[in-house]
Amino acid sequence: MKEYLRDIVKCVKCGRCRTVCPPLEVQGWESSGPRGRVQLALRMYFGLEPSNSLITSILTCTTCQQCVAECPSVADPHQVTRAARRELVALGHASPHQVELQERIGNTGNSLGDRSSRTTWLTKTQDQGHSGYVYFAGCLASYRYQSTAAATYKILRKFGVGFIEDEQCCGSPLFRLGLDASDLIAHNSRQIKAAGAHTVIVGCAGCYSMLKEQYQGFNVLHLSEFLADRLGELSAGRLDIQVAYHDPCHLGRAYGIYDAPRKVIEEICTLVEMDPSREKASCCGGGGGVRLGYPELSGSMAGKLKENIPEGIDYVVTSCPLCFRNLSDTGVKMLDLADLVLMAIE
Amino acid sequence: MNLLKKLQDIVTPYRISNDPAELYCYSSDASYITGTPDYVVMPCTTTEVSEIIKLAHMHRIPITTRGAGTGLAGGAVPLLGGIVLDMSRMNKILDIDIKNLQVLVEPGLIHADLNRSLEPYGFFFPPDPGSSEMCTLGGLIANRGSGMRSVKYGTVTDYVLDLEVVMPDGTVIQTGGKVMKSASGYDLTALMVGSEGTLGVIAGARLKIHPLPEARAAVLAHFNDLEAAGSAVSAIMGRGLVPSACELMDRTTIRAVNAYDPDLNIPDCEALLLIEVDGALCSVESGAIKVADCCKELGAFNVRIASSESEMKELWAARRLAGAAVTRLSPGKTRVYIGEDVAVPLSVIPGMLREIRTISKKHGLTIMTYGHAGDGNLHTGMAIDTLDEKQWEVLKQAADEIHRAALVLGGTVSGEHGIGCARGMYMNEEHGSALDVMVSIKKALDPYNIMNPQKVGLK
Repeated sequence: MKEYLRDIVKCVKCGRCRTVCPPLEVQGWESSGPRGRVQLALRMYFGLEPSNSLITSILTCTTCQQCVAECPSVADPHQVTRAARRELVALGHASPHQVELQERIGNTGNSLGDRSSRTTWLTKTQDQGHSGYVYFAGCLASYRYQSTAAATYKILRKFGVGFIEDEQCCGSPLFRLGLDASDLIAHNSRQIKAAGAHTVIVGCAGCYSMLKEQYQGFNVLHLSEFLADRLGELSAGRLDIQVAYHDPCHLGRAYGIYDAPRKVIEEICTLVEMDPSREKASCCGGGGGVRLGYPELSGSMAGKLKENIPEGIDYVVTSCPLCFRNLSDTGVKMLDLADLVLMAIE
Repeated sequence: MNLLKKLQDIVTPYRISNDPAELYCYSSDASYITGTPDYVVMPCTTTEVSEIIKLAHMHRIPITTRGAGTGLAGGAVPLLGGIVLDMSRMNKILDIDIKNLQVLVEPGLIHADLNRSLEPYGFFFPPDPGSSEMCTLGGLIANRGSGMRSVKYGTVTDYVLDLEVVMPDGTVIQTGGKVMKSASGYDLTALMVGSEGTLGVIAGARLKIHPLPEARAAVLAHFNDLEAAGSAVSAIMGRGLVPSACELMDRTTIRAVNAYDPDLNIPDCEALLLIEVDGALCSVESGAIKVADCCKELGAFNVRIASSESEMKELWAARRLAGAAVTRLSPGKTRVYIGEDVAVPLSVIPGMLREIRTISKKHGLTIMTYGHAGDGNLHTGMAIDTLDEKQWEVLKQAADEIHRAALVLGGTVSGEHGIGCARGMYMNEEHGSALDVMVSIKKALDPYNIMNPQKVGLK
């Protein structure tokens, strides 16, 4: 924790972060919020032996970064929590779900532990494009939402976008949980280089932030950014539906991508905003490994987000399969941005 | 005695913790004071609170009540261990009674949430602390807090009609009622407001509410001299103008506010008076012009009126968090809340500002000064490298001198944040033999000294 000590002591303990932290809203304990986590990180620096509460505190952060956005003293509980996760792993306190995830990805190259082909969504006739753009599908689209991956690629093929021959997990699930993702980063980097890509296009907010933060040597675009200025070239029709847009934390708060998905949606159908949305959008509760390690808590957070959905809409559109999955599980009628675009084209 | 088992008989096990990490999280509030509890319990009903306190009473276990832990004087820090009651789950609005101009709330309700709920009815709860978004109403009442609009609307004392209080033996009492005034018996409501959990636990509150004003406007008056701005405050009030807020910010505070919200772009100057007027649209317009003219006469070099709702919202949001935002100005330094809440008579505001400047120079410590100048409440902000013990010593010395300067000028060591244990050492000097009366009250109501012991100077 030494290198983060200065970040830790920036916290003035004002408690502003308490009111925006999704796990704290559900659980209530001081340790379940950013102020508690930062204080615990300080104690870890001074040698506090990790207890169950400490480990749970550090691992139940969804990495939504609302606390970072609200902090008046520019402390960064998100970075501190991430450092604390690495420290816990280094001290031998990896939780069973962290160990299982690491083994699963190590054995299969994907976060779902699925041994089947990663590219079942590709049709045999599709060859590599040569535009310098490649599509990085991500684990969830490759194994759980193949139709979304297929839809995304069908759209991107119209612009000559290629795919990655041997894509593996981007490493985000490991990285967010304080685990080593360097092998995955190295593998995917080699693949992207081999494809001759200058730009990687992703449909997943988690992959987006991971590629942006931890990879080098190429540009990264979210599908919404790529399409925002090109939708006119697709001859998309207008759909007579109303949708709300859920801002994924790792696209919105982390990278300020709010306008591009809205521009795409508004070209196609009627957008009704969630309340709150954009910078203040609620977290779905799925990120940061919380869905994996604490499914009940994750579900409770998703349940709370349902209260933000406007009445009378046909779908909640999002641009992150993890948000899609977590909200779908609470009964919300979800639609991925790519599927919406394909509906409008076809 | 197995206290854990007995607590589990009262509340569900999930709402009790004695895990070292959790206890550590409850060992401080927003102040620098620390003290570790033995248990943290999160009650959800008055009955649970009462049962816990009966248990504590029987076994002489200290009880420290905590809302959101945003207190600045260590009031929610369990100095002698024991049980911390985290009241944040008792956060419901039980009744909005517009006909009787009142609401019934649980103590863990966040202040801003109450006002958001009242807005659709065209009402608000006027006490307006800077920590509105995070502090609980129970904490606000227990610390006799107020905020930026107290210059016109008064402090929380003026808005509490009735409290449900769990007394030190577990008995539950109501201190008042639904009536807007009462001359019946001792004013126990007033006794409990500001008692900082030393006489009982506030488990519910009936609060007066106020119609929202039709309009608000803010006058921003810039001064080249801090003391001139301080003098202007008393002059404005003396001319019969009653602003709904009158905030003073010195140069450092202006920089902190600009750092927090660069869009505000407040001109760099020695001092800014941010004066709000509210009421009917026509009176707000004329009132703002009168205040602006008055400021010009009193030496302000740049005066403008902001009336757009978005600018007003931004201004107040930035002002509310100015105290914490000062950390943005000094990399490597952190704001520490100490010596931060003195209040003095209006006429000696310039004198107090002078004292603060002298203390700042003497110790080579930048002291930001801001606050609710309209009621003489000046907040000081000092940032240090908290990893440097020597800087702590300087900080504590400067804070002590600020407190003593306020007392010499006929002021108080706390205008609205409370005494807790950060300011207990000044109680005798400020109150003299009146402190003995407070001690007698404490002994009469809490003979075993289990309710938030060692606070408010009541050793």
